Amino acid sequence: MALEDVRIEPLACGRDAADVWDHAVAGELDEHERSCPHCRAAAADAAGLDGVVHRLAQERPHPPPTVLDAVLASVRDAVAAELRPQDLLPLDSPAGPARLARPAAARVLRHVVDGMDGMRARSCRIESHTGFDVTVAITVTARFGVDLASVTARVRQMLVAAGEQALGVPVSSVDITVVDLWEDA
Amino acid sequence: MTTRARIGDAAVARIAAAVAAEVPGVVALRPDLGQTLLSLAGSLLGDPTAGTGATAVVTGDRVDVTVTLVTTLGHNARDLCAAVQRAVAERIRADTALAAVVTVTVADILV
Amino acid sequence: MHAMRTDGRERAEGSVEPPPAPPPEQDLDDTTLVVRAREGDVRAFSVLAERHQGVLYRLALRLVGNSDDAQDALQDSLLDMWRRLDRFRGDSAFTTWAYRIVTNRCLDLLRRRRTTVPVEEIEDRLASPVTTEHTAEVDAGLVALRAALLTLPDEQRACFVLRELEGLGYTEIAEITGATETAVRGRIHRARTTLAGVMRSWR
Repeated sequence: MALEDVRIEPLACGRDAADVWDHAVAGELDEHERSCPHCRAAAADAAGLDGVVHRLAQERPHPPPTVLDAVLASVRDAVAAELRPQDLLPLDSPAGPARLARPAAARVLRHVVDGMDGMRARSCRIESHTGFDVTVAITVTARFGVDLASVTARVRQMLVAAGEQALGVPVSSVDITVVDLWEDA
Repeated sequence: MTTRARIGDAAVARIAAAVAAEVPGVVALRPDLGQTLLSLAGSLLGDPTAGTGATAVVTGDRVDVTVTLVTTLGHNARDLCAAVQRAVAERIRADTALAAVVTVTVADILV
Repeated sequence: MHAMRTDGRERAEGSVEPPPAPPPEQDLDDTTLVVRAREGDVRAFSVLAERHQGVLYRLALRLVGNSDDAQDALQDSLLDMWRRLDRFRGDSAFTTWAYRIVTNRCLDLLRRRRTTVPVEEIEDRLASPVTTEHTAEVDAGLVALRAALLTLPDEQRACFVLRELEGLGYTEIAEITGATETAVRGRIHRARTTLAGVMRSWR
């Protein structure tokens, strides 16, 4: 497998066999290729194979749902087992030690951004700092035409509010980067 | 550690789990796999509270309880933790006279 | 939650109301899903996997030749993808990266199981009916082509499938297989020549 000769031998007329093949499949044979017996033989081979190849290419076999189910079960188990101390944000509960999983907090903040017209969240990094304060760094994509300055200001406000009201986490700063723009389909 | 302490741990854990599950906003409890693995390291028999949804370790007249839970958007995670901690500590005190320190982890928030 | 309405009025202080429904995750682009999955969002990963699993399964099936092995390869590949998300830097398309993982898995599997069939056996395979899942096969040409594909050396089959059945360009195939474009072109040509020979004698 590794050491096979991958050079393409030219046809007896000197033409590159792969080129002739590509031209035949595209229906773009030049004058030489249409008349030369070597090229014509190569073109015939190409045509003979191409039809069947097209039929095979049309097939759309589907995997059974069991495959994806098994994968997701594995992934969820791995995620549940892997909750490490650094994945936890401290919560300021007066009644004892309390923590919030960082990915859960990130999901809420992304959800808030997604709910805003013309905005979609991408990365959401939450860093714990002194005390219970956190800083949030998010990247977003926005719809073309949206007023980026005003919408990012609103995102900032909504994330601070969501931090306080949905999470009980004080957000001391929000860093927003618009990384891409999109148009509605 | 004697057998009696083990029964104590399991009983307290079940109380904690039952109470926590009833607090509004608690959608599910998760067994704290990390804790389970840690406690396995210290015993041959394994942690009898594994899978209960809470873990407890009794030491004298104190108990350290951990609860890992799942909630939904619409509940303040910090306030929910406080509510669970109060409810669990009160019931444990009432049922067992033990003073509980309840550590709560919000593992997931469903949106 | 201070929901900002378009008319500027704010909601009452203290109510924790969920924000308006966001767009369905099915609408999110691959890159957004990858970034989210990389940060631990399992749901984003499941949308990504569901979106691409058909294509990846099809590739695996054509490389390894049977559905059991293809399902195993797909499952292992998807798990690989989850574990290696932090190494996907977005400098190539997600699909290219996914294709590479599946192709490598399948080639490994083939190497271990030695399913490359010598050309001499192709006659037997064509003579007797092929019992694959396509038992109601009426297209004998397809049967012949599928059998012939499995006689190719693995690397040739990979390049041929990626080009002729998946429609990828030489550059992308080179990236996926780790070979040079020249080598890719050479392998495809040799595969075509071999297959054309089989189809010619079958005709």
